[in-house]
Amino acid sequence: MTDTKKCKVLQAEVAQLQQRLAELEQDKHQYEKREQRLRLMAETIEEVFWMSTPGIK
Amino acid sequence: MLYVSPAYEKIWGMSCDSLYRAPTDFVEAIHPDDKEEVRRAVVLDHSQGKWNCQYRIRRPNGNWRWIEDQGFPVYGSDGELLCLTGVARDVTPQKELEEQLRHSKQMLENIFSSMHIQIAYLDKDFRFIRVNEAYADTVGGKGPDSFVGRGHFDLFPNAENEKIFRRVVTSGVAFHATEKAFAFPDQPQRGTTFWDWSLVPVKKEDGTVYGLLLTLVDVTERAGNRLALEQALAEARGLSGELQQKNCDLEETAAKLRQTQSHIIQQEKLATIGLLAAGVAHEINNPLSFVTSNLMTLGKYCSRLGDYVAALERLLARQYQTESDIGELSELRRRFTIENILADSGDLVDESLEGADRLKNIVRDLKSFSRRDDGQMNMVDINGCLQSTVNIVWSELKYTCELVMDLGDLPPILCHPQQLNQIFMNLLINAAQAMEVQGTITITSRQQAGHVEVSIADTGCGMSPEVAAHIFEPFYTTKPVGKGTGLGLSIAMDIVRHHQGELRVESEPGHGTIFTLRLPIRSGKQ
Repeated sequence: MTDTKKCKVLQAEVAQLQQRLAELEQDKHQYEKREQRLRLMAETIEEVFWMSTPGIK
Repeated sequence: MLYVSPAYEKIWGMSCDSLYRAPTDFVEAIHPDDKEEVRRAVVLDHSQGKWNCQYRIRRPNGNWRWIEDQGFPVYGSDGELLCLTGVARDVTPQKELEEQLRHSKQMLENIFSSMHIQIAYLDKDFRFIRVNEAYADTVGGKGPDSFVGRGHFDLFPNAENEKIFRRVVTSGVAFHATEKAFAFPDQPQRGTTFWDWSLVPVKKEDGTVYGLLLTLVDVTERAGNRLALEQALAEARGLSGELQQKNCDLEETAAKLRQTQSHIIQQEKLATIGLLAAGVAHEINNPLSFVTSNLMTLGKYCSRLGDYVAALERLLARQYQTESDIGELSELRRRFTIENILADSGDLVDESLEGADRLKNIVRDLKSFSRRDDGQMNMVDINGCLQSTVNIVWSELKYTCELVMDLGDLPPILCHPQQLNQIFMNLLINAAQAMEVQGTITITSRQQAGHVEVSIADTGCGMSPEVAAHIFEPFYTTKPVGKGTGLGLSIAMDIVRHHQGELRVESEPGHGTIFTLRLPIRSGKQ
């Protein structure tokens, strides 16, 4: 494979990665929003919402 | 601990940060008896998915709270356990309510089981849901469970009671009955039993009846006792009434006895007086006989002595012719009032004889008045009785009364003459005593409509209707103490009734009194 071709492949991969990154950023944003909503909800309700690592809390 | 929401601080009484710093504090706070339960749920149960457990925690202030924890494991896409998450909430109020409910239920259970009264809980279609031991024992079941699901009226058919049950379901109003009779169809040997029972509807919030609580109390013994008591009371009342009647009879008899005793005493007195009078009359009669006889002889003697004196004077007149002799004889005759003696002696003897004759009549009347009653009625002339009685009481009447006797022709009637004499004497003496000033007593006798009627009227003080209403009662008197016993008219009325006659009085204050006696005319054969 020529360097030009390699470069084009890399560029394409970069573009894909950037695309993926953008998508992940998008997802992260979505998750952060959801987490925010959940946190707001968890802080509002009278019950205790908890999350722990496996094993006793 | 990855995350815990702020409600933790409120429920656990500790900060979220303290939990992040020391996650084991969470386990430390759990009640020792519940730790194993929590551990099992969290460690073991998550392998099977979500878990649910309840446990107690001790807050820093020492209070205990009940927690309900629902959790589940969170797995990654590769199946790796990422974390555990869940929701915990304070269920202490519910737990307390549950505890109270459990206590209440236990209490009700104890009451239900230990009550001696019979309790049954039925659905709205009268099927047994539950009965207590007392109910099962009483109605003859094989334990409380044997009733469950069975229809009440399948076991105890009774149309009247079924109507009552239906009415309670439709109306929602409880029913109570006292000493209601019931005969168990499968236990005829028990006979009729009696029950106090209540049927209380069990309702939903909207008022719909969905069950019935039936409570029964066997009052057969009480009802039997009550019936026995009522019977005993009725008997006692009967006995009491009988006793009262006997008391009344006894009092009446005692009163009659007292009255009879008084009458007997009075009659005995009169009889004694009569006996004395008869004795006196007899004693007078003998000397009176020879006094009368002697007076008659004396009268004859006086007459013959007068004749002799006249003859002697004629002879002396022929023998002694001198003036002096004649003068001396005349002087002797004048001095000894021979003329008067000869003229009066006949009259004196006649008057004495008349007196003796009157004495004889008085003695006869006394004997007649006081003659002992032999218990038999005799045919008697009532006018004779009246005359005889007047003669006896005349000494009592003559100073205050003028006596008018208007006696008609009467046939003899069958009677006890001495008893009638007693009546006439009482009436005449009462009449005389009623005279405040000089007055008149009029005695009238007539034959009228098969009766002899005798009236004794006085012009005395009379009496009021109130007094007249009581004069025939024993011991009633208006006379001063010692003047009358109050028995005279009572005895008179008894005698008249005994003769099947009647005695009535008419009186007006200030205008005198009339007593009228009517006796039937009866011959000795009647």
